[in-house]
Amino acid sequence: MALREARWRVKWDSGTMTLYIGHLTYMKGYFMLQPILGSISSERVLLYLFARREGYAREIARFYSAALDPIQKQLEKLEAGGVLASRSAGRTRLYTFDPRYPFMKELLALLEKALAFYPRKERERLLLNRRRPRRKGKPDEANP
Amino acid sequence: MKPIREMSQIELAAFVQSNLLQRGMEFVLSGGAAVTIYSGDKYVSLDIDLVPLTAIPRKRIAKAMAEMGFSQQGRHFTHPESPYFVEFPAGPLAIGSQPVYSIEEKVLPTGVLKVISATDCVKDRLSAYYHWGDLQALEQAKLVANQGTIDLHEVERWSVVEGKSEEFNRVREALAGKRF
Repeated sequence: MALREARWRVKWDSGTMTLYIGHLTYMKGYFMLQPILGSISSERVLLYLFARREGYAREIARFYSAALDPIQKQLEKLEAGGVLASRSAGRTRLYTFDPRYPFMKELLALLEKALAFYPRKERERLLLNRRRPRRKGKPDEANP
Repeated sequence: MKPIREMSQIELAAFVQSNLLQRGMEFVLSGGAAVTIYSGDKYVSLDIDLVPLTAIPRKRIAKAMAEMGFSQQGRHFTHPESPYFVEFPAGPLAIGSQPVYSIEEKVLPTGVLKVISATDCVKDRLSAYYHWGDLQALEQAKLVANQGTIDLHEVERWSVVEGKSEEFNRVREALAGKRF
């Protein structure tokens, strides 16, 4: 289908741009490292884990409103490449950075810089999420 | 040539390495099998971790392994006549953030075995202890270090570069073979 024939529309939602062409979603969100990582999912996974230290596929996919399969595949690929490590937590596979990856320091520096280039709202969405333990029954900080 | 069912762990590692080298793929033995070698068989592992020296497509490795009679099960390759698991962890060959330059060669009846040095083997195990708190890995590091063939100053230098000098100081005497 030639681009000029396509029915397309652009939607802005909470600072995130989505370009729809026909029934396909071509671009969604902000991508700083995609040209060098070669994959949107890879950037999403790395940025998410950088901001939150650990995560699982469904949680990451849900955060970006993305399909589960490409996120899952990226997590597996990055683990096979030694960048990530995983452990089982109940029925969930939790991923985190593997501190033994030889380029970890440099990768984290790159991700930190990339995150600084993200719009404030997107950055906050990634960073403002409590991961520390919280006593059961205590009111939620976000929704007291 | 010995049949595969009679090969020891390091003989099988040498056999696989030599076969892959003939196909232009160069690997170095690391991980638990290296501990077995340098601990004088005091530590037993069924794993054979072969780390590539250059980027090699997984499909190319799988094809060569299949030709040797191995079948892939997840990340491992197994042979019906051998209890060992061959795995190909991702390269580059490094311990922590530092590349490995010193590679030992051992000539065996089944081929030439390339393996990380005893000192790097200790660093590799300490890396798991430093980052994951893996006490079994620390025990393995001690087993190798206490054979007396490692450069403890190099282990200390590496630990400092990794930002783990305090952790090293806590295990220094155990690595040097001194009892508390």
